[in-house]
This record gives sequence, C-alpha cells and structure tokens, in this order.
Amino acid sequence: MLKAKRREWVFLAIVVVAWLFVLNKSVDMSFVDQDIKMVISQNKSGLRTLDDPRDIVSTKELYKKRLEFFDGSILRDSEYGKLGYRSNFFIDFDVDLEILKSAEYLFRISSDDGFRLFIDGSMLCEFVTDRPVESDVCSIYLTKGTHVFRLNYFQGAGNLGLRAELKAADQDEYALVGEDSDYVEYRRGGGEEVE
Amino acid sequence: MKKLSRERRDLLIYIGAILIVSLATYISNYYNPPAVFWDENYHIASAQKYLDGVMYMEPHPPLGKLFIALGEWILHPNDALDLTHFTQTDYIKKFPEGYSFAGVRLFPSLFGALGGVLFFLILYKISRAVEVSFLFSALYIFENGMILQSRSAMLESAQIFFIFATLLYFLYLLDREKIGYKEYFGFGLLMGITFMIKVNGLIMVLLFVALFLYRLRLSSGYLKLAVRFVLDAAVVAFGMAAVVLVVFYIHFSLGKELSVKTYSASDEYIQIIENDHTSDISNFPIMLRDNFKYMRDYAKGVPSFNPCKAGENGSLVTTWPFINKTINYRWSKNDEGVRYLYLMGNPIVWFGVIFAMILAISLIVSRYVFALKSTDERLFFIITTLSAIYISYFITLFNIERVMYLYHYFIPLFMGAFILFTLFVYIFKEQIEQRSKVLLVAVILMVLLIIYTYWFFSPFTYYQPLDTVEFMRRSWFEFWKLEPIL
Repeated sequence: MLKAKRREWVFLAIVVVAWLFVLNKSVDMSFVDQDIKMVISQNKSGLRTLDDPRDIVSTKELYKKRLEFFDGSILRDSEYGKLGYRSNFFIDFDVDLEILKSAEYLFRISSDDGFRLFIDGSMLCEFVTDRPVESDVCSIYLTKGTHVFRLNYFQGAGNLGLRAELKAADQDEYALVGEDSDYVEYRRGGGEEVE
Repeated sequence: MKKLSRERRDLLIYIGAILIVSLATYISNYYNPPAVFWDENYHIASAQKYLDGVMYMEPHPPLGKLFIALGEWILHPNDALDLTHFTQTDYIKKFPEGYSFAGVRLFPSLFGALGGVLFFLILYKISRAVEVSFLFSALYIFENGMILQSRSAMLESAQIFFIFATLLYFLYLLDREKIGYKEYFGFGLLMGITFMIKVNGLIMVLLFVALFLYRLRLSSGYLKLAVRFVLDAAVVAFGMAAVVLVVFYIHFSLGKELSVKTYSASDEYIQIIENDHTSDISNFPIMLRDNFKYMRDYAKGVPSFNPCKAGENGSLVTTWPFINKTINYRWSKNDEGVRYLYLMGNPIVWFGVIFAMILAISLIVSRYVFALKSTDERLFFIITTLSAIYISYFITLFNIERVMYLYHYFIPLFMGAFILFTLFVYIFKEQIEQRSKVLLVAVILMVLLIIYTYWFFSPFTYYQPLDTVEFMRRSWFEFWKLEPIL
C-alpha cells in the first residue's frame, strides 16, 4: 500500500499530467513561424476538376509551416490536426521562396485530387482532375533572389492528401515546401489571387 | 438572537457561493438563443396544451412538462402572440416571430442551478468536510453537457434535481438511528417525483434496497426483518403512488378540451371531456388506463439505434462514458463563424468518472473477492451503493431496444461524480482532516482544470461563434464525432 504522503503526490501528479494533456490539446501554437498562406474554400456543389465553377459557401485563411496534408478521409496535418474539411473544397497556397543559390529546381507535387503550380505567376505544371495520391515532378531554373510560389489544389470526393516538395537538381533528397535549407528559405508572400 | 454555529455559518456561506456560481453558469442569458432545438418542439407543444386546457397524451410522464408550463404561466412572455397552433400538434414546426423562451426554459434552468446546491450538500453529507465539498462541486457546476441540457425546455435538469434530492434524503436516513414510516413515505414521494418526470428515474428505487441492507446490522431475526422490509417497502410504494396519482390528476384536470387529436382516448374518455368531468376523481381510472395505453403503443413505435443511418444522433450505451456521441442540437452561420449548441460534456468530469468507476470496482472486488479490509465502512457502503446504481442503470438500458442518446447518461454520470468524491474522501480522509497543503494544491489545480475545460468548450454550450479551426481544436478524439459546419 502506498503511504498517505505518497498518495497525495500521486494525485497531484495525475492532475498535472491532465493539465499538460489539456493544454497540449487546447492551446493554439499556429502563430509560431508559419509562412505559407493557405485559403480553404468550401464549395457548395460537387467538384470533379480544378476548373469547376467556384460556388463558395465559406472560406478560411490560415498559415502553415510545411505544405503537407496527410492521406485520409479528412483534411489533417501535423500543425492543426484535423481541419474538418472532407470533400468539395479548394485550397490556394501562397509563399515567397528566397532562393539562396541559382540552380535547376525540381518540384514534386503528390496530390489526391488535382493541383496547379505557378512560379512567379507562370504555370509550371498541373493535374486538374480527380485521382488517388500520385506524384508529378516538374523543373525550373531559379535565380538567386525572391520567387513567388503558388499552388491551387482541389479535393472532390473520397480520400484526400497533398504534399509539395522541392530540391535543387544536385541535391539527393526532397524537402517539404516550407522547410528552410541551404538552397531556399521561405517568407510570407503577398497572397495575390491567381486565376 | 441565537448565534449560528461556525459549521452552520460556513455551510451557509458556501451554499451562497455555490448558488452564485451555479446561477452564472446555468441561468445567465438562459432564454438565448431565442430559437427552438432538439425536443423543445415536443415539450413546448405539451406545455402550451396545459396552459390552454387542451387534452393530450405523451410517452413521458407529465411532471416535467408541467414545470415547463408553470414557467410560461408565471412569466407569460408570449401573451401578445397567437399560439393556438401549438395545441393542434405534438411537434411545433414554426414558432411565431418574437416568441420568447424565457417562460418555458425558466424551471429547467432553475432546477439546473439549484441542483448545484444539492450536489454540494450531498458531498458535504458524505464527507462532513465543507471546503473539499465546495471545491468538488465544480464537477456539476461546470459540466457543459448538463448546463446545455438545463438551459432548454427539456426534462433532464428537473429529473436530476430530484434525483439529487432523493440521494440527499437517503444519506440523511442512512445516518439516522431510527426511521419511521413518515420518513419512508417522504422517501417514496421523492422517488415518485423523479419517476414522474422521466421513467428512467425509477432506478432510484435501489436506494431503498440499499438503505434496508445497511440497516440489517441494527436488527436481528429473519422473520422480523422480512416483515419490516415488506412494511417499509409498502410505505415507500405508497409515497410513490401518491405522487403518480396527484400528478396524473393534475394532468387530466387541465385537459378539459379536445383539439384535433384524440390520441388513445376511448369513447368513454371523450365523453368525460365533453361533459367537462375531467376533474371528477371517479373518472380517473378510465383516463389513466387510456394514457397508459398510449404510452405503451408509442414505445413500440420508437425506432432502434441504427449506426448505419446517415446523421444518426443516437449512440450505444457502452460508449457514453467516453462522450460518444455528441449531438449537434442547433447551428447558425454568419460572418463571425458558426454558432453551435452541441451536446458535449466537460471531458475532465466525464473521464474523471471513468477513472472513478475503475477504482470503485477494484475496491469492491478487493473487498469481496480478496477479503481486504475496508478503512471506512460507511464510505465503502456509499461507494458500493452508487456503483450498484451506475451498473444497474447500464444493465437496464442494455435491454431497451429503442434509440437512446448521450443525455441518458446524466444519471450514471453524476452517480460516478459522487463516487469519485467518495473515493477521494475514502483515500485521503486523514489528510483532509489535517488540511494537507499538497492535497489542497492538487484539488485546487483539479478544479481550475475543470473550469478551464468548461471555458474551452463553452462555445458549444452558449452558442458562441467558432471558425472551423477553432471547432476542430475542440475535437480531441474521433469518437466524440464532433462535425463542423463548413
């Protein structure tokens, strides 16, 4: 049997652990170091392609550190957890890339469903209809300095997921868009609309 | 003037404090939103029939609806409105513009707030320690689900109030040397009131059995005991029957006219109404028979729980302790975000009850299976009694086929909250007496945590706007099934 004194401390420890759990679940840390602007737009009607008419019932503007949403039936990431969106919505991402070394860069976009990628206002690559998670790789030569990254994404029905990665051609590994490296750093962009 | 003893003075101060906080959490702004939700459509229709003297029949016993009607009768905030159509239906689809809910929600909210005082008194009766009783009252005062349910023209808060009153009376009787028929009759009256609000209140009858078992040690001789049990049970049953008869008599007397529906009224009953003889006691059996027939027939038509049904709000009995599943009672959307009335409990209270039940069952098993000695027989008995009610309630509900909802868990939830407190007193009795600082800090931290989680989930309780991210931050577990409106 635990001695009386120890039982008090055990009770105190349980309460402290409960506090930590609740704080972890309830405190918003999204203001910390987040550069990628995203606007989520819930569509009223069903979506089959990125170019379907936008019949928006609600929009939500948020900032993210890394451009990644987990595969699954609900929009979910490591920063916000579940965001509640499941089907028929668009997300428009916007961030400025601070390119530290001029080089050929490869963007790898894995999406379920479609996407369209713009660099400095010019369309680089796209997959505009619905699909399970698949990847597209496209490349562009970027000079040292600031470049504008914009990605339009849509989710129709069923499962969803999105991951945008970047690497210089001579690098071995891709890094998620949003993660600083020796080649690129990220800054909050202007967020102008791209059609 | 006689001076109050220090104990009594402290008690009154704490009751006052509890009342103020309870009024703040349960009553403030109780008439908002001025819009109907969940079963209010049914209950307000019933209440209005009492006010307009229209006969109706219903699956629930009448007392809860009589309280709803009483609030409307006292405040009469809708006198200027034509509510005739309320009496022509059992489910009001359209409320006239400007309809105020201040009357119909008055008594449920009041019972909710006053329930805080009874909760505190029960804890005090269990422990005789006023400070910890006061602090642990947070388990009720800051329980989001109960607050939301109370701030509506529904039945649960009135029932929980009288369940607390019955339990408090049981604890009072438990400590008495002698219990006369008068006390047993009073006990029966309280049980009857509980039962006449909602039928599941019948579970409180187990308290009589517990009281009898506790008093076995005071008597000897099987024959004497058996006689005593039968007599006491008869007096309790008499008390309950008195409430049933009085409540139904009021119900029948107020139903002086027929509206568009005749329900299960036989030709005899219709004749009684047409002759304006509903207050005549000689007609009581016919009216009671027809009402019971309607209740039976209605129960047969209630659907079963169907997890495959889209938008099913019902849930499995076994998952209630984990807050599965929450219910979106009402929502509205504007530029500020989406406002919800979401039946969502305070997770600290609900999970605390799960923890308490695990401990309580372990304690009971250790006593009866492993023959470990109990350190306090009275507290052990209270834990066992409340655990028996908790488990019996679940066993009963397992055998009911109709769809059930999360708010049906309020009775065992608060039994569990009392168990949690009794276990605390059982474990820390000496430290409470010695006013241990470590223990006090731990309890205060626990209460602050309850208040913090109450505040965090309060937008669901008080119809405050949330955006999607704020909503999802409150969805800690998938099994709560909180779904945002996008």
